[in-house]
Amino acid sequence: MDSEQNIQSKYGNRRPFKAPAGYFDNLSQRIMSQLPINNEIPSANNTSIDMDCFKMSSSRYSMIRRFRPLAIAAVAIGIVLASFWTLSNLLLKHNPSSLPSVADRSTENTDAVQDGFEQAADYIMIDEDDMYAYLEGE
Amino acid sequence: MPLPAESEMVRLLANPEGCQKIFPVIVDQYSQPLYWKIRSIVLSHDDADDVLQNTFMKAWKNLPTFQGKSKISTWLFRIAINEALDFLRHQKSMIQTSSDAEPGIANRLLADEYFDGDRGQAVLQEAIATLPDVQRTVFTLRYYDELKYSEISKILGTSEGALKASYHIAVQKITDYVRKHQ
Repeated sequence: MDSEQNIQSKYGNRRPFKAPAGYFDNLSQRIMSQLPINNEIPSANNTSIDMDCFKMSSSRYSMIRRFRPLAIAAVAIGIVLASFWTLSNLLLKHNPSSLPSVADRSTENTDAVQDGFEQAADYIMIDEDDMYAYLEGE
Repeated sequence: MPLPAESEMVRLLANPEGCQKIFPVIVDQYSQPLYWKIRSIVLSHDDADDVLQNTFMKAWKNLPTFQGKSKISTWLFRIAINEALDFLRHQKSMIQTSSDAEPGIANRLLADEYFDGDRGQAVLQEAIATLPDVQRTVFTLRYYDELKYSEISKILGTSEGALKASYHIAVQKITDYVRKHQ
């Protein structure tokens, strides 16, 4: 390939990078020190613990893999239900038919006042007409 | 410690005691080749150091899933390349959200104390960096590491024919880029 040969003849195929002096001297020790490895010399007891941890981690991994589709389906259903519930609440809140109109509210207030008078009238055993006449006078 | 045979290493990796015994040997054997492959992709020494650490961390965590169907070196190279490319993708997304202008790669390399080349070499690295991930990886492994297409095929899981095509396209693009920017 001519183009490749041109590049090679011009630039060579040695990487134009260098590492800091001594970088590779302790590299493997540095890497190992940062890995989650039990550095103690394995005894009979430790060996059994390590094996249990290793088995648990691998069996947990296979369990997670087995139940992942179910978990994903459950989350998806939860999201749909939550969205439906939120949406229906929002619609209910902003549904004009469920809000009393101003006219309705004033009518309700008048009705409430009248009920109050009637109750009061019943309580003090006087005519409503007399009470209204009294209030008009004030 | 001399490197045991591949079959012996796979046998040791199959149980926890063997892992603890052989993994340090594997780290010692493969850390340098992995470092340079990663460095070719991420360019900076500090980034290569981080990615190398992540590579061995991932390898250690995924030892239970290693079944010995591929060579240990192939498996490690695959992890390293994926980690390096993931790092670049993350870096690109950070740059896109940053308001500061990104200096050219060639200029950045020339200012890097661990870059051992001249302006031409820096432009070549910039040309390689403009390639899509697969072409960049194939070019790096073929040009600098002189790996056979059969070996690269096992690392990347791509057919040899596709790799040859990728490499040919990569060489053309690099040639054009270098000619334009020299």
